[in-house]
Amino acid sequence: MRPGFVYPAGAMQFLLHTLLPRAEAVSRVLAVIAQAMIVVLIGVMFYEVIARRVFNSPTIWSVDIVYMVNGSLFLMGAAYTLQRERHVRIDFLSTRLPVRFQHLINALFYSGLFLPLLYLTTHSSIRKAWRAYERGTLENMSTWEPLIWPFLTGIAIGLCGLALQCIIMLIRHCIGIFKPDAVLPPGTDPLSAGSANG
Amino acid sequence: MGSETLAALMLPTLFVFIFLGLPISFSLLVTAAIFAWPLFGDAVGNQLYGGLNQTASSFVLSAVPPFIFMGYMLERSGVAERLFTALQMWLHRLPGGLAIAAMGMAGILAAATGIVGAVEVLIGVMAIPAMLARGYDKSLVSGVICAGGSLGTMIPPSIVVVIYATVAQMSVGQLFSAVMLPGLIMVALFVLYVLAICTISPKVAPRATDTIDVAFTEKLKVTLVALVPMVFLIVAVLGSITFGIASPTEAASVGAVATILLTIAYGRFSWATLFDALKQTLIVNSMILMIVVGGTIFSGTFRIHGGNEMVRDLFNAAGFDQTGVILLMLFVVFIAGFVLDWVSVVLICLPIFLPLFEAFDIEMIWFAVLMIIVIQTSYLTPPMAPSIFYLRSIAPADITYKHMYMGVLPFIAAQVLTLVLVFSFPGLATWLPAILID
Repeated sequence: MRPGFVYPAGAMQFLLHTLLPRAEAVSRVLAVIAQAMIVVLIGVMFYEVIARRVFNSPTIWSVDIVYMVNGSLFLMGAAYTLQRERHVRIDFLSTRLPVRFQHLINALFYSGLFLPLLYLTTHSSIRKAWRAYERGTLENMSTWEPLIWPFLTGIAIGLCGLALQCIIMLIRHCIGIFKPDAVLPPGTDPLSAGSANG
Repeated sequence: MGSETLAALMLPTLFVFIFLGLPISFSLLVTAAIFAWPLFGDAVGNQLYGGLNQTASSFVLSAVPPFIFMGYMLERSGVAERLFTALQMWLHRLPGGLAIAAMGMAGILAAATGIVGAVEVLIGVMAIPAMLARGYDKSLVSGVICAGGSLGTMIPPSIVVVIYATVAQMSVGQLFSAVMLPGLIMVALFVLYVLAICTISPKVAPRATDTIDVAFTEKLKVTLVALVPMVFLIVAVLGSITFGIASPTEAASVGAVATILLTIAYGRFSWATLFDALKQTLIVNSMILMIVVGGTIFSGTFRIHGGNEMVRDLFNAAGFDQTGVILLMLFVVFIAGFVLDWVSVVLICLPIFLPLFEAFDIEMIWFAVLMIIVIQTSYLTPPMAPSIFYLRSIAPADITYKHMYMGVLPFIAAQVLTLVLVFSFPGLATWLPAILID
C-alpha cells in the first residue's frame, strides 16, 4: 500500500457494511428454512413411531422423507455455518502468522481451489436436479418411490448458497490482505467477536 | 505405481491445508479433487457430487440432528441444576461428595446427549463454584470437570459412535451396546478414584460441616422431579435403539420431543430457547456432515489410487502381527486426536484402517470400542486437550493450567486402565452386542 494513497472510503464502507451483509441474508434465509426442516425431520420420525407403535400402521414414506430432509438441510446450513466461521479449522499454527498473510492464504485457497471446485460440483448438481425433473426420475430404492428432483434441488440450492457465501468470504479476505483492520481475522465468528467491526 | 505415489502424497497435502488453518471439510474436498483430477479431469465435479449425494442419502446420518437437538434443548431445560441438587442431597456425606455428584451428573447427561464439550460446560458452570466454595482442591476440581465432560464421547448416544458406525458400515445399535459396559467401567473407575483420594487425603475435599438435613419426603420429591424423568428418557431412548425397537433417528426424535416437554414442565420453555437450540443444531450438524462429505470423497479418491492396498502391503512388509497393527493404529488415533477434532479423526483414519481389519483378522466391534476410548483419551490429554480449552473458558482465573494438567492425569490413568481392560478382555466390548442380537 503506497503512503498517501487515499481509499475510496465510501465505496469500501458500502461494500463492507451494506452490500456484503445484504448478500449474506441469503445464507440466513437458507438457515431458517433448514431449521424448519429439522423440525420436520423430528416431527416425521415422531409421527412414524406413534403410527407404528400406537396405531400399528407404519408409513411407507417416513424413511425417504427423513433422509432427503437431512441430506438437503445440512447443505442448506453449510453457508450459514461458514458465515459464522463454524467449519472447524485447526488454527494453532496459522494464527501465529501475520493476519494479512492468513487472509492471503484463505483468499488463494478460496479463489484458486475451493470456488472452482464448488463451481464444478454445483454445476453438476444443478444438471442432475434438472435431469431428474425432466425425466421424472423416481427413488428406486424405496417402496414409496417418490420423485427425487425436490431432494436434488435442495442439494443444488445448498451448494449455490455455499458458493455465494464463499465469494463473500473471498471478498472479505481480499480486503483483509490490504486492510486487516477492516475485517475480522479468518476463523472468527462475527457474532462472538463483539462490536469491534460493527 | 504412479497411482500409489499419488496416494502416498494425499495425506501430506491434506495436512498442509489443515495446518494453514483452512476449514478441515474444505481441505478434504480440495485435496480429494486435486488428486482425482489426473483421473477424471473436469468430471471431478461429478465425482464429488457422487460422494456428496452418498452422504446426503444416508438414513443413519439423519440421527445426528435430533441427537444434537436433544443435547442443546436439555442444556436449556434447567435439568442440570435439578440433577445436581438431587445428587448432592444423596451424596454429600461421602468423601468428595460434591465431586461424585458432579461426576454422576456428567454420566447422566452424557447418556442423554451426544455432543462432546456440551456436557463439560454444563457441569462445569454449576459444579466448579460449588466445589470451590467448599474449599475443594483446584486440581481435583479441574480433573473431575474435564474427565466428566469427556464422557460424552464414550457413553451412548454419542455422535462419535453414530459417525463411526456410518463410516465402518456397522449397526449403530450394536456399537451403542458395545461401548456401554466399558463406559460404565470408566465412570466407576472415575468415581472410585475420587472416593479413594478424598479418603486418603481428606483435605483435598473438605466435608460438609453444615449437614443439609432435608426431610426424607422432600428428598424424595426433589429426586422424583429431577432424576426420574432423565432416567426414563435415557432408558427409553437407548433401550429402544439397542433392543432394535426403533431406529436411532426415531428414538432420537422421540427423545427430542420428550426433551421439549421436559423443558416446558420445568418452566424453562420459550420460543427463543427453541429457535436458539435449532440454530445451534443446524450449525453443528452442517459442520459435522460437511466433514463426513469431505472424508467420504477423500477416502474414495485414496482408494481409487490404490492407497488401501499400499497401506496393507506396508504393514505386511513391516512384519507386524495383529497386536502390533492394533497398537500402531491406536497410537495414530491418539496422535491425530492431538491436532484434529474427533469427526476428522474418525473420517480420516478409519477408512484407511478398514482394509487392515480383514487382512489382520481384527474384530471390528472390539477395535471400535478401543478406538473410541483412545479418542476420548486424546480429548483429555494435555497439552492440546479440547477438554482443557473448554474448562479454561468457564473456570475462574485462579484455576491455572498447572492445576488442570495435574488434575486430569489420574483420570487419564483411569482411561488407560479401561483401555487395557477392554484390550485384555475383548468380551467387555463384544458380549453385550452378541446377546442383544440373539
